[in-house]
Amino acid sequence: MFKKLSILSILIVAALYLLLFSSLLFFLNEPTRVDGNRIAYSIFLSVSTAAVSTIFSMIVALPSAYALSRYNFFGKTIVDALLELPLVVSPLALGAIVLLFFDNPIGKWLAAHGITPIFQISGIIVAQFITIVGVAIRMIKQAFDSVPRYYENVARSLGANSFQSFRTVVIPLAKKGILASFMVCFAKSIGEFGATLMIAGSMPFKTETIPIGIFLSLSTANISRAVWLIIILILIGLTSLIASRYIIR
Amino acid sequence: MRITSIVFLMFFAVSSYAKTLLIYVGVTSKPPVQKLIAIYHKRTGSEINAVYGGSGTLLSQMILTKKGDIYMPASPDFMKLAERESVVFKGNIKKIAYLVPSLIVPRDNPKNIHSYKDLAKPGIKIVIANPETVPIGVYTAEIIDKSLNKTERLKIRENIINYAGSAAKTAAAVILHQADAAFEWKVYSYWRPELIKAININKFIRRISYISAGISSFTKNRKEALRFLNFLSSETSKKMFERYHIMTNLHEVYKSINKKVIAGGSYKLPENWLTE
Repeated sequence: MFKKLSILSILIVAALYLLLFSSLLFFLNEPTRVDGNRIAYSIFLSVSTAAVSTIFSMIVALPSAYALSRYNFFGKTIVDALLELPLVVSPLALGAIVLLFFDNPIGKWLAAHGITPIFQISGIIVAQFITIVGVAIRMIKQAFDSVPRYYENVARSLGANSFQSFRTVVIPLAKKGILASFMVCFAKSIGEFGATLMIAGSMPFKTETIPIGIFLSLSTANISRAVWLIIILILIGLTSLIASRYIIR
Repeated sequence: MRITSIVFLMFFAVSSYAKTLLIYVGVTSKPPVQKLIAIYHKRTGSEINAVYGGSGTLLSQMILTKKGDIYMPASPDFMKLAERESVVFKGNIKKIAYLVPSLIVPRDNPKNIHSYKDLAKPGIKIVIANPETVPIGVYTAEIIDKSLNKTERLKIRENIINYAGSAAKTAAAVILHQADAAFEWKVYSYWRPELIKAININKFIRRISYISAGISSFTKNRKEALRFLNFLSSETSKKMFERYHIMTNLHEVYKSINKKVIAGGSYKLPENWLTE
């Protein structure tokens, strides 16, 4: 009985999502030439910036997650909590923090020397990075936790140094978790909105990512363009999530 | 006794619901309108819920939600659009106050911007309001399109780093030093004189805007909406707008810019504006 009820519950949730998604089809019209160009630009911008920010987050997350998984150090608990902060603080607030940082003396000095992401494409990458890096570290740490230390100790006893054992033993064994983390972070980057709006702005043909495009389309009651962008966002997100599940298997 | 109380409470709930209005207000009118809502509530007991934002964004929200009792954009461009889309009833639109476009810079003006033409200098960061959804954005686009030759125009366009979602966000970009200059309604320079100042661009002003209000075709309470609309165009309201330096007398506006220009009208954004 409980089994049937639980399956029914998940089917109802899935049906609800399908119902919501299918309602989009009622508003689907052929986009105008200008709309088509804007949509194409938004897709290109979102995919390319998400790829860059995900790669950056992986570069930072791999050693950070390893440190959290394997070592004890002073302030570990606080650092661990700090890394999770982007998961609980709204992206809009994170974006506002970056904005305000560039209005303080350090930020102003950086901006005076040409280092500022404000209203730039680099701002999209910064926005995506700060919202996904915590997720990346968390997911990769879990993957590292699942690799028994015993294998590393064997490698070390055979002459490998700590980096060699990390590269040749831990990484290959945690490969699936790392790839899944990459896919999830990529999907999350593509969907990032609040921090992007604050840091990079919302200029068509410059910083108009897919979510920003949806926001601007609804602001001008251009339902058709909004629906196209929503469908594209769903397709990219679903593909990434399904791919990550297959990788984990 | 208990049934009587329930019926009384239900009647009270229904009658108070009927006296609640939802109004959509262009963000520049927010300071005086907030005060006016409080005065109106004190006088009549009616609840007024206001949504503030870019006039175009608000219009889209009304079209999408099919809700609202009064629409109050910062320019007639959007009121005409609202009439065309049958979002407001025609023939009952009240002019409330006037807005003059200007250029604002940070108080310390670090990039030494003293005239409109300085905006074409390399490295100047300009923020303008989104010309698709914000009235001052439409006026900005018109000034840029009509005032200079193509080379200067393109140089200014190259220096635009962002489109802000409302007049308030446009001013915030200058206050937060994200931009060296922004096109903005002049009133903003009176509101934050310690942070921003206005640069005279009167020579380039083609037309001035006016704030107007009209009853939404989605209203469920036209009588109450009309009552509040009349209040918005009353002497009390005018005094409140004047208190916030938003002029309500057209002659005073002309005197302040030393010339007579069209009050209102409209400007159609060229199709290639976004891609040029």
